[in-house]
Amino acid sequence: MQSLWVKIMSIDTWLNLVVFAFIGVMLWLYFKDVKDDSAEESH
Amino acid sequence: MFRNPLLLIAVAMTFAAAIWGIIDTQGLAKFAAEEVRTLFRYRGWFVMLTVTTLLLACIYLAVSRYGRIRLGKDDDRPEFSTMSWLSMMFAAGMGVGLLFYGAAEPISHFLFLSQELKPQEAASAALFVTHFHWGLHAWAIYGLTALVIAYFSFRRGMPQLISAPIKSTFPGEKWTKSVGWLVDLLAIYAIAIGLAGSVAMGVFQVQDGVAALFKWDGAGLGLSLTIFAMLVLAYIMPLTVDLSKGMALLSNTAIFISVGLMVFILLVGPTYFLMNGIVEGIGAYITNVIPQGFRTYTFFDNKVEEWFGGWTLNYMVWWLAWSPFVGVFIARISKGRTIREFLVGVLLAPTGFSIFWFGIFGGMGFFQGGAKKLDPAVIESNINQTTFLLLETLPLSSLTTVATIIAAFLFIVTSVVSAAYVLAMFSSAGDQNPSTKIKLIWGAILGILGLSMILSNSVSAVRQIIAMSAGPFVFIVILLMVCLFKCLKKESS
Repeated sequence: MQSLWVKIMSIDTWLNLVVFAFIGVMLWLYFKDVKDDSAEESH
Repeated sequence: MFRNPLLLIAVAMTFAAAIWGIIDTQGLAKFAAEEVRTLFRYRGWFVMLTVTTLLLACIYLAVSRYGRIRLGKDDDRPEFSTMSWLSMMFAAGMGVGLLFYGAAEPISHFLFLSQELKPQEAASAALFVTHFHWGLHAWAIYGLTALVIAYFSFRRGMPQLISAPIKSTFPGEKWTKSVGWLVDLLAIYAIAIGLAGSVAMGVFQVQDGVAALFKWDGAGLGLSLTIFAMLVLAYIMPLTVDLSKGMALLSNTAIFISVGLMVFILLVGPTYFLMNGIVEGIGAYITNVIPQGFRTYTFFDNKVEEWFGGWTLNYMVWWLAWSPFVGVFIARISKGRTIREFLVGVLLAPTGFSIFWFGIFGGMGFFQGGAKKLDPAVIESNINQTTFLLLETLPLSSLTTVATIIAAFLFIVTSVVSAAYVLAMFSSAGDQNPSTKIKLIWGAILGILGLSMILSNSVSAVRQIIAMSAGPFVFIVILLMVCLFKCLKKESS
């Protein structure tokens, strides 16, 4: 139990958690519908 | 200036880093080394996955229907000829690093790898690893960042800021304001530290060149500081007046001298041996480049892990640190090109040149056991002497040493002037004509930061400090890629 706690609190776990969360957010942003804003289309 | 919080905070952050470096040089170097070791050990896989994904994304964009989209209006055409476009791009992206590492890197890898491999296998592997560091992966990082900036700037009319694609892709969403602001701040910080590191490395290079030329033993900090003072004087003036044509001339001169040096070594050295090495290097590169992008050396011992972190991961993060600066520069000269011709040019031409460059400089080190003759102890303790040790083995060494010193000096001056401009533009909300005062502030900060890194008197410490500053860019560049793909998909539909 103690070793699990040590693992959870380790920098390795937290850094990788950030990375996995980031990958998830990027996938979500890619597939997410965005509000259409005519101001962005200057072309 | 006081009404611009981004500028104030960016100046404060970079100035604090510079002061820390000057007051407690060893402390900063130690802190950076520990942070970078943690970053590479726990997120090395992510760095490699990111850069390989960027390369695959570039290849996909070049061959897909998106390749036909023009960076500008549909009737825009390129402003520069393809040759001058490629030459300017190469000077901005590689610059002084080529002179610094041309001979040193393949020889360093050879000395490390020959502990485990036969000499002939170690030489091939050393050249391949060097090509990998300076090849498609490096230019995919630059290329994709530049492509995103060029696409959103020339096709969608956004300012040339790293945050612009995020705001343009997700209009009206509140988070984009704060994330965009943070992204611009981190871009400024990464550029400032990355450029200051290159200034320090350039000064080390020039210092060892001068010492080799006049046979000075033990030329140390005094000479470094003299060269640094001359450098500051050389770049302050171009910041106060518009010398864009003059800067292009200096940059072209540096490239011309470097190419002349390369051709000289090829012709005066063992031409058949060097050409054989280049041809072999091309084959090895084509065969192994994609699998190498996924290698993390996880099943090897600590020594290999450190070598991989100190070279491969460090390079990839270094290119990331430079990517906002080089990205803006490449974007500015690429208006009117299609995505396909942009990516083919950005990826293939510099990679091809690098294979020739390192094939010639590295190959010279391998000729008749040259690497061993160059005294491994000196190379391991002072890597920046390698190029000059190599030149001493060839005729006209005084002339080639002077040429290398001049080229290194010109590369640093042009890089600092361009970087000060990009930093001023980023911190003035994308203003294409930032005020002289802001450019001078950034020129001064780059100088102080450069000084703090020179005081560390260690190439390794400089590389660690750069890697530490560029860490967040691993995330930012992926976000930019998502923005680009989302908008391209929308435009095509």
